[in-house]
Amino acid sequence: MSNAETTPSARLQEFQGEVDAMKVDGGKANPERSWLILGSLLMIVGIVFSLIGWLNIQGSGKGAKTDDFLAMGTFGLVLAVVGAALFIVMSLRRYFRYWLVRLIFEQREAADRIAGK
Amino acid sequence: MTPILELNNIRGGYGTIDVLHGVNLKVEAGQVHALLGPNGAGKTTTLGICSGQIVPSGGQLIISGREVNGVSSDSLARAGVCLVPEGRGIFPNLTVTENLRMFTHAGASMSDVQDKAFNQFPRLKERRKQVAGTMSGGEQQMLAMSRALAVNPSLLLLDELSMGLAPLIVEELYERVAELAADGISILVVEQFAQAVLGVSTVASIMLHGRITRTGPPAEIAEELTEAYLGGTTH
Repeated sequence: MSNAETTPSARLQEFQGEVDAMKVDGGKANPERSWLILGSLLMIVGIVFSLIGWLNIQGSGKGAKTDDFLAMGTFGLVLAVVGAALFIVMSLRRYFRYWLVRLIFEQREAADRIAGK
Repeated sequence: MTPILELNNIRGGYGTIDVLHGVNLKVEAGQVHALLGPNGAGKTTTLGICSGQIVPSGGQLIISGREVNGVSSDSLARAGVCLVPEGRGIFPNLTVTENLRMFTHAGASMSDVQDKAFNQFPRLKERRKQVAGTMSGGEQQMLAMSRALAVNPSLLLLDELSMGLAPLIVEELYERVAELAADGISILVVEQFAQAVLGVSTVASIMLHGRITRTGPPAEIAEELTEAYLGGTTH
């Protein structure tokens, strides 16, 4: 069933054209690392914003400036929560993946033991 | 002629864990290439890389002479690379007709899709109003392969076609695979159960522990399979 022709068929030529026109952006093999770093940075930045907001509100009365720092602190809290959520999700994904791979390797070892290796 | 699919020293897996450790594989135009191996060998991961769902961490994925590492899976699908995944990949809560309608996304008309599906698999016509999830495994697999027919692929990737199916049904399905190959579609088929696929393939490879250990004509591979899987103990 192998194709012994040297000239490609119309379908293959069309496929070749589609492949040549494809956009290839070279995605990442391990995007989780980027998300982990982003999550960590968001947590740190969020905590810093919250601290700055809280420190500047201390002892101040009501006013426009107080409201600004309140908003800043709230925004910081949101960033910290989002960052923490990202970090936890990506960490859990890594953990469960290691667990799954461990199962696969144990399965291979079991198969090798049965085969007498 | 340029191979339609080439994997050069491909490494890849999930996150930081590589399950493929330097895979080299070529599918020539019009070939049926069988990739055989036990559970956990890395066959499905290989198909994931070929279909763009997994980005390789090393090596080159070459489609029709162009390196396409990191290409999106939908771009590959639009270009003509069709994956029929393990577990059928149909919509179990939709009827056969509704599933076929979902296959018109590639631009084919509903009448064309139905004609191709019902001509190849008359049983689907009888069950066109039946909910897909209530059909037998073999019928679901036929429906899954109808998607492959509908999109008119140049490269078809089949993952464990025989999974959970009776031998007679498997034989019928592989006869369809042979017909698709005769139409000029290049096919990479992953199987755990070799006898089903060796009869229709033009070349076969054995994959163990994330590496391809042997490639050759099906007859030679068939003789070496038991030894390859069990490491030499054949009693």
